[in-house]
Amino acid sequence: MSGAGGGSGPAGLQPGRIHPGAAGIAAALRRVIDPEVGLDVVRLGLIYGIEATADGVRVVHTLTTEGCPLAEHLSRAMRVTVEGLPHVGRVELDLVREPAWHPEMIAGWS
Amino acid sequence: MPTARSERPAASGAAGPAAAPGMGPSVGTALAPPLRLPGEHLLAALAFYVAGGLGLVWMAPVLSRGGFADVRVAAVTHLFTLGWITTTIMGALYQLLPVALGGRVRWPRLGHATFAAHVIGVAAFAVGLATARTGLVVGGAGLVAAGLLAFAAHLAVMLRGAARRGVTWGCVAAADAFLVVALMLGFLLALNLRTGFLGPGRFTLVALHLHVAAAGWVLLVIIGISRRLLPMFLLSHGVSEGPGQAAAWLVAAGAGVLALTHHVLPMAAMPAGGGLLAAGVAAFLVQGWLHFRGRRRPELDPGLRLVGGALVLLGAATVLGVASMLTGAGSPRLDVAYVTALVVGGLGLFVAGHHYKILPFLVWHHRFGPVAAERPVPLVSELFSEKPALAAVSLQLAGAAGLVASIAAGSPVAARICASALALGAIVQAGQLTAVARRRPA
Repeated sequence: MSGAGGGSGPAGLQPGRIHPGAAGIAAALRRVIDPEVGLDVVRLGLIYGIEATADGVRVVHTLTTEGCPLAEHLSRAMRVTVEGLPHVGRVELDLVREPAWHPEMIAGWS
Repeated sequence: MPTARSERPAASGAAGPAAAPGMGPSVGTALAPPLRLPGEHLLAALAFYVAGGLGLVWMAPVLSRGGFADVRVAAVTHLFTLGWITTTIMGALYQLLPVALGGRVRWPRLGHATFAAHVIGVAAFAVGLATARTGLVVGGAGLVAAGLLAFAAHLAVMLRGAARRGVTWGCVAAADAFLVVALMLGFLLALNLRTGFLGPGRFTLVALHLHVAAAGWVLLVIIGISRRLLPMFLLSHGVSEGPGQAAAWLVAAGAGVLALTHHVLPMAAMPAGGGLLAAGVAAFLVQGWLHFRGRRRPELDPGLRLVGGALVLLGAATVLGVASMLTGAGSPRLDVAYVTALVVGGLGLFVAGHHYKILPFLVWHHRFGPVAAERPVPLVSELFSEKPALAAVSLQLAGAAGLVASIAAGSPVAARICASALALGAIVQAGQLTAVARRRPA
């Protein structure tokens, strides 16, 4: 996952680069929990990147399973969570299939 | 199976999901039917499960004497096969097909109509058998046949429109065909109760009906859907799926051999078909073992414990089935122990385990998911208490295994005690899941 220091807002962002506020956004996304597994989307390894766009942020993520029935809830919660952060700007969610998610991507299990 | 839970209320409203090249974020949600369609099936199935469990308590002494020819045993058997297992599969497929295959429930109203015909028919059929009222038996069988034929046609239409056609699709499609065959055989047996036209050959037809239904219909669906559900629930993505694929081919071939050749080549059909089925079950058990061994989830929840136990009982059923085939008709208790291990233990408890997974998941998806971004909601596993669930799981596993052993040993007292344990477990599970079905966000 892309992770970098804290930026202050969308002004001056370089599209396609790691968002300067990626660390803060990732921290916020840890509040988005998979209700079946009980782990957050960051720890599950679903977040592939947090990139700057011309006017905000793009969160590149995947799902554990193609055609996941709960994908809409996930997207909604991620969007609401990131939009709630200060100085983020426009939020794009980019759902990708490759690389395919694998359980080895989970960062530990308490 | 990711979704979301916001531990604190989010600050702003949410728009729809972003464009998602490749994965279609809302495809399952968009195609899935309202909660009522799968929900009514799953709740009715639980009621049949409790009735079947109590029926086992009632018939335990008969079972322990090897009384497979008693029509009251047939009544209890059908509470499990048609009432518990088939009603569950019907409801689960309405929810899973859109997710697993990208299909759509074409006619939800037809789904409700087939549900009504099916559950009324099964109840009438079972009561008719239990009370020796052949009019009720034939009437109930007619309703079941009408409901299941309409369901099979509806399923065929849904499969025809499915976006993804792989092994799971093939399993469900083949199972749909075997459902119709099993139904026709069953209807012949129901008519035979009134006319006796089958004569001594009825027991061969009973065996054929049982195996086409249990293997061709139920097991094929289980094998196909497990390819999606087991990795999702166990987080065992990436394990080899070869054994599961082999299991699908072997079970389909075995059920096909039995269905097509038993009247033409009766001496060859049972060993050949039975051998293929046994090999198929063995391959499926290997697949299940690979998933459990390769899982990333360290703790098994109640549902997955029940599924694991069911797989063990399915293995025991296969051993008993081979032994039964080798001994011919000489050991009725062995035959009854085999069918009990297969229907109540292997298939029935596999379904029970998935109830603990699917029903809470559905309730969360339809009721809690839409508000998860705005306010705190429980996890799926928090929709019911784990301790009673674990007790229910233990009762069901111990009860089923003990019942099989008691029947094989010919002990009516032990059989009744074990059946009571199983029934109590079923009651606890049904009570818990019925309460889950009523839960809504605060």
